Amino acid sequence: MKSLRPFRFLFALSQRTALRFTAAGKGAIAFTLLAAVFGLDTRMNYAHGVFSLGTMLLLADFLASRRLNLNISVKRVLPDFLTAGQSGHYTLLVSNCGSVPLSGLILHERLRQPFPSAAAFSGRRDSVVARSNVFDRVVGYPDWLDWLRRLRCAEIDPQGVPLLPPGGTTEIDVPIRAVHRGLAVFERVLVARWAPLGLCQASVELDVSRVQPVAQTLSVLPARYAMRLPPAKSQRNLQPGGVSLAMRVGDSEEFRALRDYRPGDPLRAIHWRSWARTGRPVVREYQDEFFSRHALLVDTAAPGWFDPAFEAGISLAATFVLRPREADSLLDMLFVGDRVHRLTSGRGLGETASLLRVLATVTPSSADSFQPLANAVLQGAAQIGSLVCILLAWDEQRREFVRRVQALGVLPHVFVVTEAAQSARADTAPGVSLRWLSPGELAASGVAE
Amino acid sequence: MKTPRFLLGASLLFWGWCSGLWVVAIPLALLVEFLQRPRASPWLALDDSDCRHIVDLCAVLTALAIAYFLATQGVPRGLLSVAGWLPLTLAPLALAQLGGRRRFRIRHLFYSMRRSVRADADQEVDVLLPWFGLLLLAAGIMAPRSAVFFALLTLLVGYGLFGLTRGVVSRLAFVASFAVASSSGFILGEGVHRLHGLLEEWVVPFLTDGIVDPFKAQTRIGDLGRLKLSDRIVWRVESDSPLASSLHLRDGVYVLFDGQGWLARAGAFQRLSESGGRALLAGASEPRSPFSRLRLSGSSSGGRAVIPLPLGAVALDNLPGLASVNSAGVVKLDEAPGLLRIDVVARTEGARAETSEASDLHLSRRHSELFERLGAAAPEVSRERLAQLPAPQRLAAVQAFFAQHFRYTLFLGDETSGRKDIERFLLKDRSGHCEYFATATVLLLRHLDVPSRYVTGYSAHEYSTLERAYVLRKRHAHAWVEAYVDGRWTTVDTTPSTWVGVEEDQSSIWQGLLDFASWCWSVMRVWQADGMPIPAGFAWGLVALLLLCLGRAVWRRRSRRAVVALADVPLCVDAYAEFEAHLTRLGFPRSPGETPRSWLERLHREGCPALGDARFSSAEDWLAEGYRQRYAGAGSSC
Repeated sequence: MKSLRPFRFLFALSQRTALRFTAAGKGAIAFTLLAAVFGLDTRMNYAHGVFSLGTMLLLADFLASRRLNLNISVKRVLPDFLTAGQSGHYTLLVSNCGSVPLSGLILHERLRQPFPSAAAFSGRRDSVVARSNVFDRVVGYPDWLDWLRRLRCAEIDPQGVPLLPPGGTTEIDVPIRAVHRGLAVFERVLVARWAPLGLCQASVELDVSRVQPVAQTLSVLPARYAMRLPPAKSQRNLQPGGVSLAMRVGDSEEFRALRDYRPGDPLRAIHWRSWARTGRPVVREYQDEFFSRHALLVDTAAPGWFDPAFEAGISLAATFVLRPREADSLLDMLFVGDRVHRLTSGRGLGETASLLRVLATVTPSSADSFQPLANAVLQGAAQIGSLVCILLAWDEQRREFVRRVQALGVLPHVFVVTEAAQSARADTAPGVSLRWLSPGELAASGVAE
Repeated sequence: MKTPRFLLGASLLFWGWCSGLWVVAIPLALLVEFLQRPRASPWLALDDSDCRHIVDLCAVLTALAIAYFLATQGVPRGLLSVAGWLPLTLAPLALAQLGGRRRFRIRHLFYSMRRSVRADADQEVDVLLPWFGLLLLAAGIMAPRSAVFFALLTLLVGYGLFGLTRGVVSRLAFVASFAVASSSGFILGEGVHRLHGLLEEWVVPFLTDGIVDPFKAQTRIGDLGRLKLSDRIVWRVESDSPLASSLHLRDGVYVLFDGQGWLARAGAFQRLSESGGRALLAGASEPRSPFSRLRLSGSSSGGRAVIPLPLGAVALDNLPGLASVNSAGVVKLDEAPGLLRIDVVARTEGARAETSEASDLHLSRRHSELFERLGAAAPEVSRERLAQLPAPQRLAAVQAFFAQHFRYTLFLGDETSGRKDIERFLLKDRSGHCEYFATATVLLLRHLDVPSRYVTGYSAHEYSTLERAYVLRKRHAHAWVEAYVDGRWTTVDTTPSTWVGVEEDQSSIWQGLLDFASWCWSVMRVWQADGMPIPAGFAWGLVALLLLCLGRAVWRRRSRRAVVALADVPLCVDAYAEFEAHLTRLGFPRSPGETPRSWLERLHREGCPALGDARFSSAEDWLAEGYRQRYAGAGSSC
């Protein structure tokens, strides 16, 4: 496992360079260096003239790009969420709090940059590296940069600020590209201004007191496929405890009537006042709840981060979350993070968007994480009306799970998302609605707006 | 960032001025400015496949340029030429961006990214600004040193930066900064040039290896191990008549021995005067018969070379660069081209009418004592016996002494046998290589009051039937003696002639193959140097290829657009009329008096791109429908 310290150093250097030099400045550096190489023998040509002019232009502009003293404040207004792979806009309100007009300013938004661990990066390279080119495979740095891009979740280009009079405020519509699902954290705002020759720029980071809000988070939801899915239908099952059980333990509070006590009735159902009035035990009777409950099982046992099949599986899950279903039904989504999570939406319990926000942050889990997930589904199988399983493999463990679910009277719809879907398609299970999908096929179906 | 108007055209003209490729630069500049005119509509409709093909074309053109220039000019100069031509080989990229009003993506430009799944592979790249930078760099590479160049370069860069920063920075600050930077850039450029000259003067002589130093000859006397020089051919000698014996070509003459190496006589090289393309060596007059002609072919290193010449050389023709000669007749060249081909006129008797100096008799006390001891051990070369004899007889006695008692070896001694030096060579081992023989002979002759000096150079004795010339290899480097006898300097070589055979035994088994490769390389360089019209032809070839590809691309694009336009024709009652109007607009009008059917058949026969087989069949149907409507009335059925 090789150290990623050189990569971090290079990345930091490129960030500093990007802030210190304009695109023209970087081009000037490149051609000045080339001129130095080709003009080594000053008698053969005049490339050293190009070198000397480039050097002095860069030096003069570098010296002229002193630090900025700005008195401005920035207020950011973000949308509720973005969807991965799509572009959006947000608003920046920039105010000049000083007494002199400001022109030629460029705003750089800096998102929080999580860095991968060496172990995770090595694991990812093993799974994805086969699709990279030779340079990426040998060096790894472009792959690493691509990973950083995805971990940042979004990309924002530097924005020019129009002329700001003293005390004036301007509104900037900032385009933002959602690169990958997750949480984009707006951490810092830097302001730059070109030096006189346009090759270098001076920059300053705005103090936190001048940025509102300081650290803002934007959810980038997983992309959803433009697949036509039939509305989810399932039988209505008895839900002991009614709706409230969906989120917590307890009986339903829908009171129906009073009746005489029968052996086996819980003590807490006894209506003491009626017993006192009538002299015989009377219990409260509650309404039995029958409604549809859909379960969505998301297999997270992926070989590594950013595994294409895993990401396609998450997007497929997001597509199922938004599938139309009965108005009074519940949707349980089950997956494994640090433990088994079961999130429910419907009937006022939770918004669908909150499920998508959770899906945006789901990370791969270890290979042995499927069994606890399967157990959680099997425990609640009696209440489940329909089950959609998004699996990343079709091994004996998963076959056994499907068999047991079937035995409990639930007919699961199994989607196996794997890159080898084409060759594995012949592998079917009798009596199981099994569909093989590859990331490529899913992507070909298009992404929903 | 938008490229300012006329910047690219002016840069192209600047590049054309520096490279002399006006024929290419002017049309390209006009084309670029035509495509860049305001409100110009896209000239080409480029899709991803076209972009990839354009990049492929640039790659092929660049590869051709690399192959050609490296083959004809060698690595350093060839690389410079490639860089100088890059703006031309990459011109299709810029033209496509201008003509198509579309930027290339990273995935188009890099083969490794063509199938990349990374999102940044689709990032757009503006190729115009890098092309502008490349034009300036290439101009610098192809330009000679001149202040005009720097002034024009500054103007172009200033105009580019001015356009880039317009409306963003203060004009006054820009002008002030640019004036300071450009003037200091000029001073820096001059300083760099002068520093380079100083560095070459001071440092390079210490670092150069393989170039003969006419002032000092470092010998291997006192070294250990085995002497081994490479088989590489360094010079070729063509003679107008076969050589009767080996020819000694001298490139260094030295007079002072310091125990390890030889030093030349103090005195600067004088510029060699030329008249009518012929340079006469000092002290020599226009040669008269008998004389011989030689042609020497070799190469310079870093523009410098010392020419190996026979002792009797009196005149040199085709001398390139700056030639200078010292008092011993050694000629060196500065600022010479890579390939050297020099014609030499030399007296056949091989002598120089030049007086000797006191330094030609210089002998240290240590060496005088050494030869006293040698005279005691070998009376035939004792000073007492030979002092009364004339100089030729003393010379003959010395030659006989070395021929009878010494043998040739490349073994320099090792730790067990001890280091060799002149004393050990003369008194104990009596074996060594040519440097021992030459050094000992010079010192012995001086001990016997015969002026003499140490000479290095090459022995030309190997004739190559393939090249029809004598070849001088590095291992043919030799050392011998020049003695001043009867008022003339004559060559004295006391090294046993067996040295040639001993050296031959050291040759590599790959020598034949390497010789052939060396000959091919030299022939290629001669072709290039002879001014064959390849560069101009190459330029025209590149331009023709470029135009051909562009023409093909345009034709394909236009045809595709025409077919797309035809596909949009709605199939209505007047389909034929609309179809005819479309074809007319596309430049295929019906001739007066030509019937619609014969017109369609003619276009189909001539291969009109807008009228493929399927389209022709549809057009016939529409024509039939039109005829029916016209002649059978509206009520007819079809």
